[in-house]
Amino acid sequence: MINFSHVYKTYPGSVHALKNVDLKVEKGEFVFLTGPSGAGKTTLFRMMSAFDKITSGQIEIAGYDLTKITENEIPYFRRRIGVIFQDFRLLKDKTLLENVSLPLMVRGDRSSQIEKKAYDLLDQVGLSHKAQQLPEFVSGGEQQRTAIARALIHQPGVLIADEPTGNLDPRLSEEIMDLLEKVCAQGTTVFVATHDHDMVKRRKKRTLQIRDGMIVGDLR
Amino acid sequence: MNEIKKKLFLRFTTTLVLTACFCVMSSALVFGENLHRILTLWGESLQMTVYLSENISPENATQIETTLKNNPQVDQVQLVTKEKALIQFREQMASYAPDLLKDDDLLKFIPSSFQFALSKEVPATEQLSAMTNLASSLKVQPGVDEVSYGQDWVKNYSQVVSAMTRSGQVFSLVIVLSALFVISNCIRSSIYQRKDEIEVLELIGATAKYIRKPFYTEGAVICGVSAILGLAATYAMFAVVKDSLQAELSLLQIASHLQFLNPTTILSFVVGSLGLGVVAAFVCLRSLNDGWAAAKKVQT
Repeated sequence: MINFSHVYKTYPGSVHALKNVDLKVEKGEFVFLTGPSGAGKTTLFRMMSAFDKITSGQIEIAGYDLTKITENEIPYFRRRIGVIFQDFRLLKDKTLLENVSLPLMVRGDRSSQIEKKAYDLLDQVGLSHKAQQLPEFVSGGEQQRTAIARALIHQPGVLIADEPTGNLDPRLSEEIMDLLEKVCAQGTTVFVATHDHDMVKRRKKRTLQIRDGMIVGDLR
Repeated sequence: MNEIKKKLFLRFTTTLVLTACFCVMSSALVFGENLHRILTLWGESLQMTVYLSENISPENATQIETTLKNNPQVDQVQLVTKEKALIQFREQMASYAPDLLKDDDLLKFIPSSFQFALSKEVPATEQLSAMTNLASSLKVQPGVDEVSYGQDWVKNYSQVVSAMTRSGQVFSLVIVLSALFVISNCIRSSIYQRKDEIEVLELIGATAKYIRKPFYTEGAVICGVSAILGLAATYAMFAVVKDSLQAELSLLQIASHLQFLNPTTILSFVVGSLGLGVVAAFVCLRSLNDGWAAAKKVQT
């Protein structure tokens, strides 16, 4: 499902963000990526979501070779994955329901189906009663749950999350991780970048360790 | 709520700036069209007179008349006989020199002539050269004594037309370029304010077409609305200026010739503004929404 082979990423000024990264994640796996700030977690995340191009090597995700992907193919690749950010990235002038509906709207689904699916997803994350609220009027945890619902509504094969609990308190963080495990249990591959070592230890999942742009550990 | 208010405020200020811009453009257009109309009006009053020799043969007179009538630059050819010229002269001079009316010898001194105007097809800027060429070719015809066309007046008029045309072209170019600059900056600012929205849409798999369409629509609508408001403001100013200068304009006999833009020009102006909005949005978006744009920041 996710395959990195000899991946290098160098930024201008000879900043080596990723060095010879090799990793393989199977369908339905739950994987944590941990490491200190500046180790390369976000760079890896950006490569996986096609927000940046690698310098050399090969990345294959959900059947797409990201080293050969064209600009026109990028939107279609992103419809096969779900992405969650630390800062939620919700549209502030749209309701939670409209935010969750967005991936289906851009795909051109029928509006009656979109609304039903969006309500179902909001219900699954426990927010159907706040469907018509704007993001600024709900808590951080609720915003992140909305972002997760948005990332899942088009039933992606892979869910990539960059520090999804970084802006949340411990109780809300546990809630979000429970939700992600539930998603994984339904067959979605979940890849979570985090620096919260305590949470990683508690969850007992496969954990990749990155340092100075290199994968230095793979604990199963 | 703040986001919605911010967006509305941005659209309002953009529309305001563009309205001012289109107002300047349409004012320049109204001024230019009216100036052209007045200059054309003055140009239509230009007349040439070919004075015939005392002893011209009927064949030569016919030859000159045929030459004039066959010339596409010539219009309204009219033979003024000695008798007709004398009547006209006496009518004009009656109040100034009543004694002349009794002098029958005058007929000896007044020549017969052909009077004609230049065709309306001759542009104002080419009237002087057309008249000079015509005069040169007519002067050598047998039976022609003199060709007159108020050379000094035509020369001055022609210089005014040339200067106005040249400065009008330069002014129009400056106005259009300034407008383009302002419009593209307004739309660019609007797009950059919504950069986050573009990033999110890219993130969830929206195609470039899907992302850009609302911006094209917005650019066209804002420019279209601004153009209509700008035209309305220009019309109001035109009406006020025309009303306040009514006496002076009547004295110059141009009051009835001053007009606002015709419906075709208004329609072209609005349609052009819609196109301008789309082009400005296209140029601004091309650099922002390229599929990889969601994050250009370097993070490790």
